[in-house]
Amino acid sequence: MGKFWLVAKREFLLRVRRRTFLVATFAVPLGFAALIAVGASIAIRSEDKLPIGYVDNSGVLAPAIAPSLDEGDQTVEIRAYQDVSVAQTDLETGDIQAYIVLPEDYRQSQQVTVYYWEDKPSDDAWEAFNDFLRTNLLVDLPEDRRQLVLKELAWTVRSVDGRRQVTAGIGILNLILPFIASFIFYLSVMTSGGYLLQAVADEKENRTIEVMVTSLTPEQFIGGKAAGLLAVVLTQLTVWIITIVIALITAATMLESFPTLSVPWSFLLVVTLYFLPTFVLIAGIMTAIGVMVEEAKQGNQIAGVINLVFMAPWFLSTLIFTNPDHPVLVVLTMIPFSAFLTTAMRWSMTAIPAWQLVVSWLLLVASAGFSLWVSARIFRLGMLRYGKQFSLRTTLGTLRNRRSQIKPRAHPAEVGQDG
Amino acid sequence: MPTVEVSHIHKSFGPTQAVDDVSFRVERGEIFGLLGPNGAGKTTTIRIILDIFKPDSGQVSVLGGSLDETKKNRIGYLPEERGLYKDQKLETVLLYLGTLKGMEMSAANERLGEWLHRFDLYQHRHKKVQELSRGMQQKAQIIATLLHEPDLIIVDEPFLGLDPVNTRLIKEVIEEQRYAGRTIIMSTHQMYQVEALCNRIVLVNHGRTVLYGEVEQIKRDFAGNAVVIEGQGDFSDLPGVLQTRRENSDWHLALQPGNNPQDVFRALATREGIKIERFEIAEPSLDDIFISVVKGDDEVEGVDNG
Repeated sequence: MGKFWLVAKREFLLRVRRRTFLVATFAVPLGFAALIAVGASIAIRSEDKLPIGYVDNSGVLAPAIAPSLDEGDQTVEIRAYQDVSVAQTDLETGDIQAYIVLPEDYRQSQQVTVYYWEDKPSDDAWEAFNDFLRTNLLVDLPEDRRQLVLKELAWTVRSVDGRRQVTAGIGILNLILPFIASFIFYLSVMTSGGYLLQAVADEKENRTIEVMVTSLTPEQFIGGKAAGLLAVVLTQLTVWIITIVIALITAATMLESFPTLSVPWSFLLVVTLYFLPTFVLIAGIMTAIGVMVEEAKQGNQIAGVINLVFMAPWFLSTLIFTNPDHPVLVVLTMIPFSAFLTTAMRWSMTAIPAWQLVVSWLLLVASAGFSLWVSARIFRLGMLRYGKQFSLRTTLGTLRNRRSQIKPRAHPAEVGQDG
Repeated sequence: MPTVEVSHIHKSFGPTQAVDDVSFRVERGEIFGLLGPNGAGKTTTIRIILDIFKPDSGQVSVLGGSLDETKKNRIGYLPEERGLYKDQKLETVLLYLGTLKGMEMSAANERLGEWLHRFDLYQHRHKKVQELSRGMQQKAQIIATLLHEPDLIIVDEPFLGLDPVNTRLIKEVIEEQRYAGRTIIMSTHQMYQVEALCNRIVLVNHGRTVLYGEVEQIKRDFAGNAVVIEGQGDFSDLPGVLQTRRENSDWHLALQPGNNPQDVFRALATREGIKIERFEIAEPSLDDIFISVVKGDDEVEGVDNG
């Protein structure tokens, strides 16, 4: 096994065996499953199948035409009462979940009175009664016209260039899911970056770097660590995604009203394209911080601030929902630190112009390369600086110095305990 | 062909010249002492040999050429800044370091068992490194240096923090390595260990080579630069004497270069309140030579090295 893979394997095993990893990996899906279960139970509870009664004083419901149902539709029985007192008795004995009284002037007032105990009538009951009421209100219309009005209109909104379309009835979940997914993906990139910072700082804190660099190249060392840690996060992500998919399938099976979901392939493509350069960009930054700080704790504090910068688009969620083509968001799409998250979040809300995507991606890739270059130089300079602060001046001096690969510009006392 | 050849290397850090025209050769199968006071440039020289630093100028040849990734597997390095992964098990850490030096896991496992037994660490192999004593960690680090049977071993202060029993053990191990045909570069302040182990030495001060050659030859060259006096009275602060130390009833005087025992004898003749029972020209210890050369060099430089 090559040294790169040895380092990657060690980092991977080291992290996945830790309790924190196991908790984070399995607690999140369990929490998610619990959330779904609670939601489902609430939804199921709301699907009260008891009949709903009505007392029609207006005569609107006199034809008592039942609405035609699609195959598989479940409905709630609608029971007619002549007398409010009888309906009230049935409500009290639990024979019906509620009853509705239509006043004599219903056609003018369009107001009804609903009587129920603690729980409001279920959605299904409301829906059934609404369909029944509308059917009877439209009794004078021919059957086909009536059906047209009663059925929900199926419409599709398509962008001018044809790259995006939204179909009514698919539901808001399909809009929100990429939004959540982008955040989870982004969080994974940030987490693995944080791990890398910790790993580099640990090497420095443990004084193992000198042995490392005499055993393998800095590229094998940092690259192996980054690959191992990325694998850790991808493992975690895979567990989460599988759980979410299972949960969604289960929910869709259990709940008839669950919206239809489609796989957002274009979104996945964008995420894939942005994922790697964003990871490299963050890995470079975190490596540099890990080398520059004396203790991992100190590095984590700096990383916290960096995370905030990368997370900036998340704080503009409202703007992304309301005006996804706002100039501020276009700028954030171009800035490499925020490109991934902004693009992913805007994706489900608008058709991002192709030029924006191309420019943003190229800038991201260029900055990722620059980040790697900078971190490699800082790593070579800083790896043996034990117990010393790393000044900005020294850092800039290193970056300007193009002459040699390893040429720290520092006093020898700063470069370890020279003998 | 020498195992290591260092030719006129220079290295500066800002305004400070850390290494200034240092040259030496280390032959196969010898223990070579790289000596010097603190801040002399020893560790920088080692790091240049190991390609951690690039020299500003000069050449370094290791195992027959410039250092590449394959040759790294043939080198064992015990850095002055000791370090192992503290929150991991001893055995895991050492196996990982062994495999990073190109060992197969099975071979590393087998050889590690032998070393752990020999260093009395076998029963501690499942403990985390941070749970071990400093001496144990030091021994573990030496195992990491030798596990992959390197051709070139570079040890920086190998006896640091060891008790006399373990010091002897490490000394035996170093000698064994030499008998096995391996080349050892040892940097230490413990001159009696250098005297006992090293064939040849280089002494650097202020980044420059001030002494280089075979230990025995150097001692012969410096004969006459030290005297032993037995007697009564105070024999300190004599002119032309760099250092005076008392061992039992004897006084050992290290002389400044250019002064001879006759000058000391004449100075003693004029001193009141002393009685000389024995005056002997001594074969200088490496310690005396070290002090004589380093202090003499500092006086010439007009620099107090601290």
